Amino acid sequence: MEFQELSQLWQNSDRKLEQNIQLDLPQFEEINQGKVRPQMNNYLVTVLIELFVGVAFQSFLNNFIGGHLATPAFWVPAVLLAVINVYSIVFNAYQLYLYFQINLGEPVIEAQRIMTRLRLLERIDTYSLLVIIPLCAGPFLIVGAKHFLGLDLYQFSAYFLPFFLMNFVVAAIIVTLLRLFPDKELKENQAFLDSIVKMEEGYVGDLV
Amino acid sequence: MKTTENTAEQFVQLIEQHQKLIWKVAAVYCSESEARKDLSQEIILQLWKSFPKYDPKHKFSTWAYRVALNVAISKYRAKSTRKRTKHNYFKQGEWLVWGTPNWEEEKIERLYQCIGKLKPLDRALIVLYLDGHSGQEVAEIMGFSLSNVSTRIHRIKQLLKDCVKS
Repeated sequence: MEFQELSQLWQNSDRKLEQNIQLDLPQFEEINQGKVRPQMNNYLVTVLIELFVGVAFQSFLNNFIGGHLATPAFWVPAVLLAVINVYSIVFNAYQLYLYFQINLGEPVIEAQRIMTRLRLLERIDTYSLLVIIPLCAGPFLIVGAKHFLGLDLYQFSAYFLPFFLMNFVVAAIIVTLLRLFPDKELKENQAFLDSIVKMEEGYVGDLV
Repeated sequence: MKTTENTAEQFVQLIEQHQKLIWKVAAVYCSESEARKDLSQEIILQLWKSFPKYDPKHKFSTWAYRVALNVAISKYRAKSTRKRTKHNYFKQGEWLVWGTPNWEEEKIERLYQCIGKLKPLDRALIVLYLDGHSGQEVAEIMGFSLSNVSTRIHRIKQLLKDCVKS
């Protein structure tokens, strides 16, 4: 069978389609009457909340650092938290930027590149939390206890140091596991991005 | 208010003229009829949401193909079309009423199956090509260079020929 014949088949089926599809106008006009309200994008809401919390937390940390400049035992963990928090804010802001860059009317490759990058960042965001939480637990407790309870956790350093070290070990184990068993979706998205680049370079590769 | 009504009327008219496009895109990305319906609803909804950004200087079909393919590829890749859309859109009613096309020839069904085996971006290329778009138009919709499109289509045509034959 020649491709020309397949093409002809496609055209014939196209004509038959006309008899089998019908737009249900009364239903369809509901679009305009506001009856159809798609769920607000959960992803956007999550990023906005993260951003808002991040900015509020940064403001708290700035005040805390300012109030404890004379005691490095408190401002050092606060600065560590601030650095990670600023990274998180920038990360979320970039996600938001990409989100609003999505235009489905753009060429397919362009829109897919942005959407895939966004999915990739979403996964990285989730997994980075697994590492950040144990790493930041110690500094977070020191700062939190001091500010909200007026408690100096260094007086419990006999317990605190093993806790701190254990969290480092947990974070190291998580990083090792993630490297050994990378997330499937993460891998697929990265592979799709790579395939877009290869296609743009003219590489055909496997089609199926 | 009047503008909104006019816009909606204009949109409905355009969708009526291009409803086959939506069906075909949904059909090559979803083999199950329920998933196909969900995807078509999603495409229509996204077309409506994106309609304010449509520039009438360009052909509506070019823009509609871009939106439809972008929605279909994303949903296909997310592999959760049914879960995500069923409750949001399907229960609202069906905007496209589908009959079961009576393909006289099994070959056309086979052709859809074979297209369904291709990678998502290659499916988009061949659907556009089979729909009679020139290489230049395919390149414009997809965002590839013309030479790139020609090379890929040549390979896909060969592959489809072999697949349908087998």
